[in-house]
Amino acid sequence: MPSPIRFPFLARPVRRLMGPLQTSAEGMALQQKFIEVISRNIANAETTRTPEGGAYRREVAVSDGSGSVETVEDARPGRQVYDPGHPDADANGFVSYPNVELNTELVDMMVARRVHEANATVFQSAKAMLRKALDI
Amino acid sequence: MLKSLFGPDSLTHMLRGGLEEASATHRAIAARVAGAVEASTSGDFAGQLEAHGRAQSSEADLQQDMTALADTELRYEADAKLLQAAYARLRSAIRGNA
Repeated sequence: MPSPIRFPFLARPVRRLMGPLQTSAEGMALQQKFIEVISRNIANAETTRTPEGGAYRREVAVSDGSGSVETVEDARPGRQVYDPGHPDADANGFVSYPNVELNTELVDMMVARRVHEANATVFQSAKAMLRKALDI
Repeated sequence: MLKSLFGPDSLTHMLRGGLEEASATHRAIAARVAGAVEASTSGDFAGQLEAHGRAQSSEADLQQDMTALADTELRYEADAKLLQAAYARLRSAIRGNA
């Protein structure tokens, strides 16, 4: 995750005003990370061969609430497709495909995008409030 | 006399309190919106069914937060304008302008 913006050089009242800016920036970085993971899943939706062996496994990014993100593998099995001519087909002619469902990924991406937008709106609002405070 | 102008019962003091309160509310909203979604997916199908209620409530919370955000921003702006006017009046009185 990108390192969050910090303002150690500013006086405490100014830092307090800057607080929402920092929080929103962290929120946007978190959603950015989610979108990265989702796009990796979409890019590998048909990958039947990986360096680790077998088909690509879907990844899920989970936040622990402190700003760090952990990526875990989805344990569900992938689909089996009968295709004896495929280079990755097993002895019975079945090919293991990744456990990625495009519909799920696209819905997850829409959620991440909306939350990213919400954070951007809070950021803009904090900026407008700071500007008003400077006009006093 | 200065106490009545800048003391705890003065208009400027009350308006400053209003600004502080709006600022604190804004910080709380920012924290809630930043932590609105904690995973890049809603999980497996059974988990999705279970989480359906959670997802809806999270959406409702987000909508409430965005409404509260607009409200807080307006309150802050109003307080800032009033404070600006109060200081302008004080400045005018000190300088003896009409």
